[in-house]
Order: sequence, then C-alpha cells, then structure tokens
Amino acid sequence: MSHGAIRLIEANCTSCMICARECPSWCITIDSHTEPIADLPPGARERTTNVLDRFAIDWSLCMFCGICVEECPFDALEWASDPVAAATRSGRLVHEIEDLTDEQ
Amino acid sequence: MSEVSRRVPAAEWHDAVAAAKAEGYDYFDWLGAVDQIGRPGEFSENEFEVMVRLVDLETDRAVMVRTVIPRDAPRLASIADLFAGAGWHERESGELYAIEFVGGDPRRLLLSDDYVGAPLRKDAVLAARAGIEWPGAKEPGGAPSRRRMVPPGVPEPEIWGDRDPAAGDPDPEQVSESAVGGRVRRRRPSTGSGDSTGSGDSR
Amino acid sequence: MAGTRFWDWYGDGSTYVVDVGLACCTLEFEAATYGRTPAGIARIEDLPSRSRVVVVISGTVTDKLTGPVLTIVSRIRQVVPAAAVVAFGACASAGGPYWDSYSVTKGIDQLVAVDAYVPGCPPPPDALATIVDELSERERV
Repeated sequence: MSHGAIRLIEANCTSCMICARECPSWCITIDSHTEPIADLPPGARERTTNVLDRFAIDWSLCMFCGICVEECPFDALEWASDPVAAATRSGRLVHEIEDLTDEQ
Repeated sequence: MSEVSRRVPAAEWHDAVAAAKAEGYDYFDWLGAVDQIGRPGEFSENEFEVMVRLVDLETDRAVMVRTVIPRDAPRLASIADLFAGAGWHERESGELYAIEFVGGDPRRLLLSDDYVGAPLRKDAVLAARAGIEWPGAKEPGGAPSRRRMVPPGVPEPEIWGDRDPAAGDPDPEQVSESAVGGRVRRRRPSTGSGDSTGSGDSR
Repeated sequence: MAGTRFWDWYGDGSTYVVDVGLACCTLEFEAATYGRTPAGIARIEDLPSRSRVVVVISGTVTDKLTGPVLTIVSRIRQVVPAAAVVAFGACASAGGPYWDSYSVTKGIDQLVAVDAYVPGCPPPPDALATIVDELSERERV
C-alpha cells in the first residue's frame, strides 16, 4: 500500500476502542454511548449495544502505520487508494465520520 | 560478521578499548548507553550500561566492549583520544543520559542549550503524553471506567502526575517501571511498601 | 545561507519553490522536482520580488532547528512578502508521530503563518505538485 487514506466502514464499528488504544500517535478519537436493544423476545433480560457518536482521525498526526487497520477485530477500517487531500487550515485535517467513510 | 562481547569493569574501560584497538579492532563503529534501571539479571541496582562496537575490517570481526557505571555517579573515561569519531557519540550519550565522559568534549550535540534534563533516562517522563488526555482512556459505550486506563509512557498519577506532596520525591525506579507498565494499572498500596511488581497487564 | 536551492517550478520564471529539508519528507520533495528546472538563484536576496515563491517545510521541526528555519522564512518573506509556506507532511503540520517528543515543535505553524498543510507520512510527491498548482492557481495539466 502506498499511504492512501484510511477509510471507516461505519456499520462494522462497535466502538470497541481498540484502534484508539493501539494508535501510537494518539490520532483517533472515539465517542460512544450505549442504548438498549429494542425488539427483544418477551421476558428476555435487557441488553445494550454501543452506538458510535464520533470517530475522528487527525491526519496531521497520523503516520499511516496501519496498526488500526490490522487491529480492528470487525474490519471497520481499511486502506483507501487516494491520499488525504491538503488543507489550508490544520483543523480541517481532522476528519470525522462523514469524511472517513468517503475516503477514496 | 562475527562479533564477541567483552564485559570489563568501568575502571578498565580505557585500557580495554586501547587493547582491542591494538589487537586489530581499529575501526570505530558506535558508542552508546542503555539505562538499565530496574533490570534484574546481569545488572545490579540502578546502572547505566555503556558499550562500544569496534570492528576489525581486515578479518571481518567485531567486538562489543561493555561496562556498567552507577546511575547516581555516571562517569566514564573518554575514548575520544583513541578514536576521534567517538567524540560525537560521547557527546550524544552524555547529554541524553547525563553521563560524564571524563577527558572528553562536554558540549551538547543535539539538545538545545536551554534544555533541562536527561531525556533518555527511563525515569524522564514524556511530559507531553502525561499532559494530555489519552483518547484510548474512554471505555466502549462511554461508561465510566472501573479499571484505570493509563497509556504507555505515562506513570501512574500517584507516582508522578498527581503525587501526594507529603510522600516526597518518587523513587526513579518506580517512575521508570510505572511508565513501561501496561494500559491497565492496578491500584498500588498507598505507601511505597511491598513489592512494586503490580503493573497490571503487559498489554 | 548556503544550500537553499530554488526550483523554477514551471520553467517559466513565474514560480520559485524551495525546500527546507528537515527529515524524510524531503525525499518526496526531491521526487517532485524530477524533470523540473533548477532556478540558478544563488542567494535568497536575488529572488525577483514580483515572483511567486513557495517555501516547503519538509520534515520534523526539532526545537534546535527552529532558529535556522525561522531565519530562512523571514529572509524570504522580506524579499517576497507574499511567499507561501507549505507544511509538507505530518511532522511539519502538527508534529506528526513525534508530537510527544521532548525536542520537537508541534508543527511549523507554531512559528510562522502557514498557507497549506499537506498530510501524509510522507505525502506522495504528487501531493506537493497539486498544492503548488493550487497556490499558483493553475489547472492541473
């Protein structure tokens, strides 16, 4: 791979935090909360699921090591082919869920 | 290339390097140091290991001459008179570990003149990591953490960041050990008594 | 300052690009210069004041080198006040993977105004060509 961007497949992400913890540059920020699962059979105990609120990568810190892609147990991160585009303000190098799911 | 290791006492350092050079190991490769604080086995308490690699280019052999010096009195004879090239390596190891190479060049090489500290000592905390919130400290689902998540490279707060002033300065070995601890740290006994092996998972 | 080498980027004297090569990203800068014309400008003060100039900061900004980097940028901006500064790569943008180092400045924008941040570790040479084109308001050929 030649340092294309990293793409997020939101549907696969369970907010497990492994990528954020393994990232050596600390460039991944994740916020999540839990919600009860609806439509359980009657009498079943309440179960909850994680809901991803925020997934952000700060590309000004990322060194494209790919550890996050390798460590994700749910294949929610994958290499894209195009590099991340330049920006005129450093804040614009923080990409949120919408940008990350669109990385080409 | 074959390589042999020679361990010598610090007092014999200069002679051992001179002897190796006379034997034919007359190409200086590199000189470096390792902070062996807290390491069991061949090291006693609190030592720096200093090593120099010399090569005999004609016979394709190398020797690694090694010694240990105490951390609280880190001095070693300079070998820059034997190998001029060792001068920069001694300046680098000297400034990064605060080791004095006696008879050598005491000037800094890479650090700015106003930098305070010896950053490669294992009890030198990477303050930038300790100063900001680790994105990995959050728990999945945003729950408050029942475990204590501390990132690699950051000592536990009661050792370094948020230490009780009445407890005095932390023991360097506690700081270095804490900083290499795993991400999940057990809560330590409240005073420094007992063994300090409770560093949690090695993950 | 010996060694500042300017590139006549489009070969028409319109745009001069210079690299402040601090670390690995400078190799990608070099790759982006293949086929381009060296400008033959010996000193910063010889830059034509009406030219467009792009100063590319490639690599980790260590605390010790902040003085020389600032000197280069300010000397260029004295001759060409509108000279653009590009932070090329993660280190020049925000410190990159070395943000936590005891000896690194977290991005060149801590010291000078930056016109563009190119992410990457390193960015591909094409990313530099694109940003110079954008700063020169040229269509990509």
